[in-house]
Amino acid sequence: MSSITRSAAYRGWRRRAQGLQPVRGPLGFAVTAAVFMVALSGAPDTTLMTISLACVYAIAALGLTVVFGLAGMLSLAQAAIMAVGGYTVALIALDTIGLLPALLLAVVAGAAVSGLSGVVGARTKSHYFALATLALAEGVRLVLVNESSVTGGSNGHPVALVSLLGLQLADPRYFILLAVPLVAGCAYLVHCLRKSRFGLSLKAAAADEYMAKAAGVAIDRSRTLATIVSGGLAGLAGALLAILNGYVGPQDFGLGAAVLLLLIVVFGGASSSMGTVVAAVVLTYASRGMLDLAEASGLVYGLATLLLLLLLPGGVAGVGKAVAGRLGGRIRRARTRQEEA
Amino acid sequence: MLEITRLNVRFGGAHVLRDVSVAVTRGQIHGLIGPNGSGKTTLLNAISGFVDCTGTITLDGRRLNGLAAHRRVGKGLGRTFQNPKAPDDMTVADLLRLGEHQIRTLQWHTVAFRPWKAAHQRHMFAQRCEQALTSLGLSPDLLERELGTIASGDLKMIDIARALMVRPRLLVLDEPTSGMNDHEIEVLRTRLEWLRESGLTVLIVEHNVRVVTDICDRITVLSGGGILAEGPPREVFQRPDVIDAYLGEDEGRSPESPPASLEKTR
Ligand SMILES: Nc1ncnc2c1ncn2[C@@H]1O[C@H](COP(=O)(O)OP(=O)(O)OP(=O)(O)O)[C@@H](O)[C@H]1O
Ligand SMILES: [Mg+2]
Repeated sequence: MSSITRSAAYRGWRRRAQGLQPVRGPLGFAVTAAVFMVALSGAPDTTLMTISLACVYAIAALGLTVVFGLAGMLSLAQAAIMAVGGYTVALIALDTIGLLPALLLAVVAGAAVSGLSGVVGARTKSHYFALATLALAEGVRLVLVNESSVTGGSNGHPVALVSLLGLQLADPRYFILLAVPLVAGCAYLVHCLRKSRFGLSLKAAAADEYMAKAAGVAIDRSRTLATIVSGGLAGLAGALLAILNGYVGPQDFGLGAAVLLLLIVVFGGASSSMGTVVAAVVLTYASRGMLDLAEASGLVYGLATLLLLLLLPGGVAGVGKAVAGRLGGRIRRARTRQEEA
Repeated sequence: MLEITRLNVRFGGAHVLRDVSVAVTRGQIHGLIGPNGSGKTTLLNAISGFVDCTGTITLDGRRLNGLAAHRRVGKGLGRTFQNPKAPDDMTVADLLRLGEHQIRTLQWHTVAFRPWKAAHQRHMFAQRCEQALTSLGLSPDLLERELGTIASGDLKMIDIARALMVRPRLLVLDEPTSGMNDHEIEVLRTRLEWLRESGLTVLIVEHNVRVVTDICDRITVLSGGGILAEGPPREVFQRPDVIDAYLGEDEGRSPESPPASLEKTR
């Protein structure tokens, strides 16, 4: 009725404004991140380092939410794929080819290696996929340790210093200027994937393969694509870690890191990119001490993961939703009570 | 329309379908009946490409054998399930969107870079859903409900709506009325008849004899993995061997009034 009286232009703009609704989350995130970065500029170095690492793990974990959270495929190779990205920037002449091409190369390398696990694993049932990714992770580790003439073996390999607009990225103060917007971008990307046909196909295939097939989902293709996307993000995260540390070594990409990433995804919940980012910050803080206890950390993570799965099946996002639901329910009840009165 | 010739399905040592041949004519509703375990669902699974089989299956003259399940959907095949699963983290809208994703879809780059276009697409999608749900006698309010919270009769209806979203040329239904009440069955009957008028071909597995006699143009009776009878429903239900096949699984029923006891087998 009102649409007859109002002009087409108005309706067009209204539609556009409504269209912005799905991006409110990422927009809010970007604004928060900007405020955060300003506030951080005076923080001590250890805090900045933790935030930097949290950004790195957040990106890798966002990749993992696609494979593990959406597609339900348990991948233990995400840290190994990070290594692929890290060694890519370590081994190319970073200072001559430039930052952006180097990051792109790392993304492509990560996507390619991860895609391999997808091609092998997409056809198999999920526990075989987990085994395939474990084998892939072990294969990557063996190459890193044994091909010491190229990779530096267990001593690792130095990474050339890079700067962006004259700011040295090995300094966490400047690193976060690059990393936080990248996290925001990746979170937005994953958010959009989740809302799209791709995310829906993965979710359906995870829930019931036959239903998905009957609806016309190309399951193998979607799953392989998921591993490729996830690998691209892991490659990017690995490259960032290498640039931040000025060094890559196999110990940064071991099982401990793989489990940390899984834990972030579980803790963050599969349904929200924001949850993943929050979980990355919290768990990176928590694990900074633990990562040093290389041996025990695996066990601690394992137990923590189990506890989380039992206590919070929906992760942080699930808790958030539950709380919102309760609050909403209370408000609604209050309103009806008012109306009745 | 759909031609199945000499179809054989084996699970390990079990020979579940033996030399089954069925021809479904365009624009007809073709019933597939038979006692429990006679291989009806298996036949549908072979058509969908879920199980390995020998023999040929053609849809509009094009061979389906060897095509992956999702490609068969692209060739105009839609199907529903005897017991549709209800994943908790999917809403009714998700399921319907999944149903139409081969013909209309929301791409990630639309969501990312043209949110207003995505919103428009969502709006159009909501209208299509509303139409799909109301035409099957369901309330559009169900759209945002999670599938796990839907009653089983509604779920079967929603599964049919999902299968219709892609606008199939052949709709294959696996016992759609089980779990539905009389009113829902009536709604479905009317809808199927309307769809037949508009050119849809239907292959329906059904236990409810009244529904079968009312809406099916032809029926095929399966028993023990082979074809027992074929023809117009009223003729087929008069045949003693068909009656026997049904009574064999339902002991203790008097053979005096066959159609009534047939009805009970649902
Ligand atoms: N995946 C499978 N593996 C082994 N045997 C199977 C499989 N699927 C079905 N069968 C067997 O094939 C036979 C036919 O089963 P089917 O589900 O096709 O029967 P149906 O006619 O649909 O029965 P109902 O009326 O109970 O739905 C049964 O004996 C069943 O045990
Ligand atoms: Mg069956």
